Amino acid sequence: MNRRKFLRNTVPATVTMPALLNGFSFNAISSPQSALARLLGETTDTDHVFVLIQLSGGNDGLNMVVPLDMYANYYNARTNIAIPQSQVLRLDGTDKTGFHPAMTALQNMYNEGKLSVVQSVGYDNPNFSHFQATDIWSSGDTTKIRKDRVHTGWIGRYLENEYPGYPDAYPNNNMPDPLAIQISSVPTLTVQGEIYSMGLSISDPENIYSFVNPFNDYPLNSASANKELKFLRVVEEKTKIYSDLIKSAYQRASTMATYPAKNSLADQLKIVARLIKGGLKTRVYTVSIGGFDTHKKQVNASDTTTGPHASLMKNISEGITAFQKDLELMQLNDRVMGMTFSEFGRRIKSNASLGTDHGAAAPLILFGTHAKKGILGTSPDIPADIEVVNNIPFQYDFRSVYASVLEQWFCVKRPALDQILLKNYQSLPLIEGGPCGLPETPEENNNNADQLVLKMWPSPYSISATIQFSTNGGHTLIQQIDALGRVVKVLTSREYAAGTFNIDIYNDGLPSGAYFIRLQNQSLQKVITVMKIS
Amino acid sequence: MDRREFFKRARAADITRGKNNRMFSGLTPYTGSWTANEVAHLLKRTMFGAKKADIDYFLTLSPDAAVDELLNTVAIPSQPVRDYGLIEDEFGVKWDDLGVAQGQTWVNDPNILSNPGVRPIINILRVSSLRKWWAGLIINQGRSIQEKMVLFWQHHFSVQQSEVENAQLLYRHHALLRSNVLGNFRDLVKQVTIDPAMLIHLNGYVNSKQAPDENYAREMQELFTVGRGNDSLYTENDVIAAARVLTGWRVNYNSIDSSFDAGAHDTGSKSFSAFYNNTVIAGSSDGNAELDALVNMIFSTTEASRFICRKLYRWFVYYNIDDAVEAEVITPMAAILQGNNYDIKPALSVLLKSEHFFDIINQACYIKSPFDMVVGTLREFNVSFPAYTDYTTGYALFNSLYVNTAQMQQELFQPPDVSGWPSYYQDPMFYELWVNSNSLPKRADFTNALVNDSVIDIRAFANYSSNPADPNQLINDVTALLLRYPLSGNSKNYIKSRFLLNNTTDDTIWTNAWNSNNNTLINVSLQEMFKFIMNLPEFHLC
Repeated sequence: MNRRKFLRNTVPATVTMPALLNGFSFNAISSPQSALARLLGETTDTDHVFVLIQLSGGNDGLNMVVPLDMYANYYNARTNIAIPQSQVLRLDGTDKTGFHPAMTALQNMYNEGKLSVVQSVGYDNPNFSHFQATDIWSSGDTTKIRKDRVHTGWIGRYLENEYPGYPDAYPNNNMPDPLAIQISSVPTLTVQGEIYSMGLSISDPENIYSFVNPFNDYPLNSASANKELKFLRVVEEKTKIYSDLIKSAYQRASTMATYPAKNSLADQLKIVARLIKGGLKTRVYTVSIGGFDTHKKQVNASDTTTGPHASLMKNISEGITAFQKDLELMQLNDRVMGMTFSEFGRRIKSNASLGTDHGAAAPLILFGTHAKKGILGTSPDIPADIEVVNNIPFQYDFRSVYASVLEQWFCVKRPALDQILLKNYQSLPLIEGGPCGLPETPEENNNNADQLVLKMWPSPYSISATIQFSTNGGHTLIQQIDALGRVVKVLTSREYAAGTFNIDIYNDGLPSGAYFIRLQNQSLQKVITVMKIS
Repeated sequence: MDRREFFKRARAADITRGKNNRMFSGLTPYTGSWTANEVAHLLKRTMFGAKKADIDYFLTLSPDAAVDELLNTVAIPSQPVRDYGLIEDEFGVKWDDLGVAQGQTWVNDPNILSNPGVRPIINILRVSSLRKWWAGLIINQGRSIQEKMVLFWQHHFSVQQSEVENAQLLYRHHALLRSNVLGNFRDLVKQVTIDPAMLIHLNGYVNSKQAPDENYAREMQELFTVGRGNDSLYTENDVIAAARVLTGWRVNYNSIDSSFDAGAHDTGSKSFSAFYNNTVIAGSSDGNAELDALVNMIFSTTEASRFICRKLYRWFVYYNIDDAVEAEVITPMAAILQGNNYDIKPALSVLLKSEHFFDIINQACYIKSPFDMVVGTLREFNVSFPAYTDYTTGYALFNSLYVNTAQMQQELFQPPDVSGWPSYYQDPMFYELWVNSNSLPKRADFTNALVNDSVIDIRAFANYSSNPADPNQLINDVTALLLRYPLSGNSKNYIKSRFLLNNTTDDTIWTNAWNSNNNTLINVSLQEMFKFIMNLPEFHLC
């Protein structure tokens, strides 16, 4: 063999690590028109684009969105990694919450009204495994046993509903471009449809693939081999078609803002902006950034505002801000919004190695010109006598956030919405002046929530207690959540007329300890802390 | 066949009826035909690619003897060596690695003698040497399952260079996997638990009584032993209790090993859930005894035997484990594993010798991993490489193997996360995750370059045919060697006409060219034909 040539052709100057190798994997293919799609029928006509940013590893939400109104308990729980109170970035219109000091760019974006923060997003029975929790967030199904969970992603189900018959009948006049593009080397569950991924994965938008497979028969009598061969044929076909489309869209547009260097998130968002500007009608883009699994040394001991987590906060902050600027210069900002998410937050109490272990609920950020400015929800209640096992209970179910995005950005209506998300979830005020109508503001929502009655006496309780709550009418849910963040009792979940009601508890069988009582009524919720003693 | 056997089969058939068309055959020993087709199936699954010479060799053995040879052939390689010269810093000053001379192994040198400023660079160069050495072993594999099993353990324990950042510890970890490649799984888990690279990778080294760190205790159960199957019912408290058992293990960089610090160990007693029979591990200051008790407790569950069998099944057979496979393959295989005290070899031997393994339904359904694609293709074309010990010319070539596979998303010492490569666990796509709009062009670039740059000798490959002058025979023979998924007669005719007959149906065009040794025509025709075949979707299956 010709060694010199082999070497020349196969050894690039430097070996890139997986984060940079991450290209776009694409897996899109046809699924039979689902019963779901037939049932729902109605398609929505919008040119709006949604960008999903995955923070892989479990982001420490408490150091990203710092609870100033709980500062003493926050500091007590994580003294070795706490952000000094004086350095927390203040936000317009609130003294309860601030940002990590590395997030000055996002602080400005918040103050300009382009950011919406949702507090304590999670779900009941939080899963602490990266793998399982990522699966849960991607699928939108919290079923404990993985085998019993749906095998599709929430975006995948939305796209399948919107574009039935993909990929066989695509591209077509109605949708001439990829439905979703993942800037990643491997397709993720989020965009998975019944059979095929609804997304195309790419890492280099100028990469061209030109092979045309001429064969379409299946001489082997084997269901498994034929399944894989069909898959490969479809991937080859769609890769050829869509790589041409992506390349030409990419080359039609050019970047208009300045993106920060050495920031993998910024690199990915930069490609997304160009593809949108280049005219792709693609509805959803996903990007990701890793490194959030900060079990150790997430801060520098000498200065807790610096260190690996601070770098991540800076990268997110500057990456998103540059992307928003780019979109504004391209005059696309009306059409695009985005959201961060992570598989879980981290433990309230830090560990001895300047890090934090796997936790439960955490804040997430929606950004864009139409993000409704504000902090939705209250700071998490941090116990003064913090223990290792204490977790942040969720205020908002993550599927409520998904429901709000689908409803307020993609104008998906019920009952299609409930089918896509497998259940009905409350809608939250996250988007303003979007294409689908005007919900209330976060302030109004928080005020309205404040006015709901939720109390329990006696507290602490032992054998019997009474919970009093008010509802504005409609579906009302009350859950009891333990210190680990798990829902241990559903005290009520049914339709109510507006009014104030009591629920009596007697001999509930729960071990003594701290609990949270969570009330949810339409888009409103309220959480109180109670104590059980023996 | 005796009556018991007959009814056993009938029962298995009942179980699978109506399930995705999957036919069924259990762990009964395979006694069917033994042709190049079955041999190629066995070799492509247990090695990287099936060379013509290997197929011919194993055809002379029985299926039983073939599997035995693959399982029993073990080579003990010498260690990776320093292949780098002096290190130039940013000011142009040249520094030496004072710990070890060129051509000598660095694995026992803790990298503390050289200038502190260049030690991190030395470490990077050593990691690079380690990767080249490993890739060299893979491309030079013998007739053995060994290299595919080493890669399996890398997938299973998934230790990442980016976390460990120490070449010596990475080598030590790798050597541990290599020396236990078909050994005792329980012993391996025990040793990996206190292996210094793993202690760093999953934070065991900071796990102390004062500040427990659950990372390893959680993954030990979820990813390494009992898994998250339906019957795996360990609790969050089991994670916390296991973390307490494992407090106190520390890493010594200079002696390249680990040790136990009794002062950091939690000496309280640790109680486990009903899943572990409410076991209580008494507190003590003997970390080893507690570790033994923990590992024994975990491996006394049936789930521990089933979980690893499912993983081996997905690595060697197919990803879809339906109820019938679970009942008729995984369950009995796990029983063999438990019956043999967790020795891997007997259980794997039964699987590889089974009717189920050779069932048509399990052939040609495996999407090639990047290593199957890169190393398998080079081996099947009989491209010769220097010995793995050849650091002067060999290492650079081995590096190209590492780079190519890494670009296709299978990077040595760097699986994407703690759970290994998603192609072997991510429902519902599994193997399909290897091939997508991103990786497909890279696979095509690779195989096209092999032809365009004459890395592979296509004339020699054509000569594997019993009669290369006959275009029908030639295509039959080369596609039989390269493709596990057969082409139909029409498809072969398409290839023949387009590449060998200048778009006609006249076979004599090729026969005359071959017989008259028309080099230009032969080479151009073969080049285009081989590129085409290696771009076919069928080529990605093995």
